[in-house]
Amino acid sequence: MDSRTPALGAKVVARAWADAAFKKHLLKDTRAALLDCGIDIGTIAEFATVENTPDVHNVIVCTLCSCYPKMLLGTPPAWYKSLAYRSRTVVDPRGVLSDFGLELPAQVQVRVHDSTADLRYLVLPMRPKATRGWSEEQLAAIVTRDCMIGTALPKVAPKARGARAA
Amino acid sequence: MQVAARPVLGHCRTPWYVRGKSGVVIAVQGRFRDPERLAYHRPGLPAQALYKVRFQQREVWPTYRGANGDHIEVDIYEHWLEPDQIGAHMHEHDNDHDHDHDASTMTTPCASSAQKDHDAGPMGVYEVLEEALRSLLIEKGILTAEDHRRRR
Repeated sequence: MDSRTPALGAKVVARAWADAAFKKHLLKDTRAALLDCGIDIGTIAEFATVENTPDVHNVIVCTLCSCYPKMLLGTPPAWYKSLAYRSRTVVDPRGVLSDFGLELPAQVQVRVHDSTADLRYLVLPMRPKATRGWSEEQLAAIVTRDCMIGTALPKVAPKARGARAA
Repeated sequence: MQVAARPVLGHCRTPWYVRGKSGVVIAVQGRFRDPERLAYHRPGLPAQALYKVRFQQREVWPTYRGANGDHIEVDIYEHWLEPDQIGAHMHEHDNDHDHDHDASTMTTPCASSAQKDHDAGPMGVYEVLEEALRSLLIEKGILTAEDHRRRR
């Protein structure tokens, strides 16, 4: 069954941030790693996880239709299905990211994944430094849908930062 | 490897913007039924290997405005890939990419030769037209699937 919200995806990302062994497994074999924690992604498509690093930022698009990892991220946003996003992300990804308020330095490689075939992609964002000691639940709360598509980065509100440090 | 530059009539999962472009195979994604046949109610067998191919943005879009190191990765079915005719010019760049340099460079084949080399290759133009027309007639209720089976 497809999920309606990105909550499941956020949980998976939070788990990967908190558990290095799970993260390794998720990146190597997403289907098996998810099955290990009780998530069956079904047989409609294969899944792969791509990891953001200080050097590489991943963005997902489907230029031919609007393939989307619904099982983990729920219903896709309208913009993901728009012709503008689908056509511009492959030609001018940095311009698209900039429209989302995300400016990446030139030394960070932008890697676009066009998921037009049998695989669906999940972006594993980088864990913000200010989240040290957070529980998986707290972590999941900052993993937005857009973070897992690659059009945003997880943000820690200054207030939350202060509250958790106290 | 290079992506074939052949035109396609009907359903196809190889985006036009990478056709004829050179890229590097960075992973084998498994084997999947051929979507070009599946779409027309064929079994799509034998299953095709699906490769993750990495293209440099500057190779795909000569006027690309982003950074030199930017890439685009597309999953391409085996029957769309052919050895790179142009050679290994893809490897002249000096950015800090992390892919294996022993990965084969391939380019996609050009129309006619690809058709000849693959017995189980894409459907011919008339085959696609026939399928499309039949589906349309059935969809519009002019012909039922049952009628069609009887006449076959």
